[in-house]
Amino acid sequence: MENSPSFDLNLAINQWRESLGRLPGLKAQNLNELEVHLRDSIATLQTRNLSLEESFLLARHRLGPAEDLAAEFRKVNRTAIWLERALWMLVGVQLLSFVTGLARVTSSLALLIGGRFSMGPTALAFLTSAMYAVSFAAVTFVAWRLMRNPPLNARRNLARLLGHSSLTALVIVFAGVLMTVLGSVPTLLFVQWQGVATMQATMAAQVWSSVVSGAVPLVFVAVTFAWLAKRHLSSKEA
Amino acid sequence: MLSKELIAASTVPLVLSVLAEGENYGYALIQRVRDLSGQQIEWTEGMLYPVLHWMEEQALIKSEWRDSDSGRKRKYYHLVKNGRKALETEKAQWMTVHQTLAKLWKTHPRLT
Repeated sequence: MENSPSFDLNLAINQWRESLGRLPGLKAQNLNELEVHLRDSIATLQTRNLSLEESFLLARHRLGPAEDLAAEFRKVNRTAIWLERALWMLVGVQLLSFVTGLARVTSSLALLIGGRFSMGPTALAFLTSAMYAVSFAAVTFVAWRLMRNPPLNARRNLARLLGHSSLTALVIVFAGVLMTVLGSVPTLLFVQWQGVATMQATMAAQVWSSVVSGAVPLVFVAVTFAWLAKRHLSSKEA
Repeated sequence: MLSKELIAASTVPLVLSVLAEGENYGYALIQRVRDLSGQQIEWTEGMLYPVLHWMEEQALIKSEWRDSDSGRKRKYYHLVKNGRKALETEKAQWMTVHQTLAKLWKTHPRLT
């Protein structure tokens, strides 16, 4: 009957929710309903001389194994699951175009700066290509670190963002247009400042950086695909 | 204890019948069935919810989140027209099975 002082019911319920939520198939609403059930069940069990922790464990057990529950919910939520997958695919496409846009901006800035120091065509081509690859890698690395250790409330903020979907879509489109404009302004400025004589250098630099800007995202997508496929297979075997 | 197959077959008619008494939420619905069956019908509790959602998709029942008397927000389910019709069909079918078995067992009481 004595409650062990170390047992925190809310923490235990949150952990249970999180582990169940990680399995595909359950919507937030389903989790809410199951949580209300769990709390009702715990309250009833506690009136039968069970400690808080025992009540929690028994109530959780009575709900059934997480895998089985998720499998049953998956059958009912099939449409919602596909919509969510499509949503994440679109988020991926948007993010990729954002990252490539950003990399294009930095590489064209490099072109401008290189032109200021009167670099030759080969040096310019190398500089802009390298700048593109480095900034792409840097943004990807930062994004990866953020995903690994998400800042506090990230999940809630993301959910809020998705709640205002039309506004978010508008901001994404605006950001994309801005990136394209920003990416071409330095090139235009470069040509204007340096005159037609340096057109050759610009062209060479642009050809090379377009090769890199075409290849880098492709390699990125291919590597990510291979990694995901491998993880998917190993989780199936486990 | 009922067999797994019989539990699965009887879930929908049981839910329809409990909701015919009036609106209810998942936890209380399970308690009602457990009490009425004398602890013989023990559902894996979480499994009821996908069934409830399926029944809602089939337009047999409807649900709404509401504050309960205890202050806890709960999802209440109630029967709608299709559900009442489905209940009548279920009743007729289960009664047929029940009456058939009852007649058979009356004539051969010591078969087992």
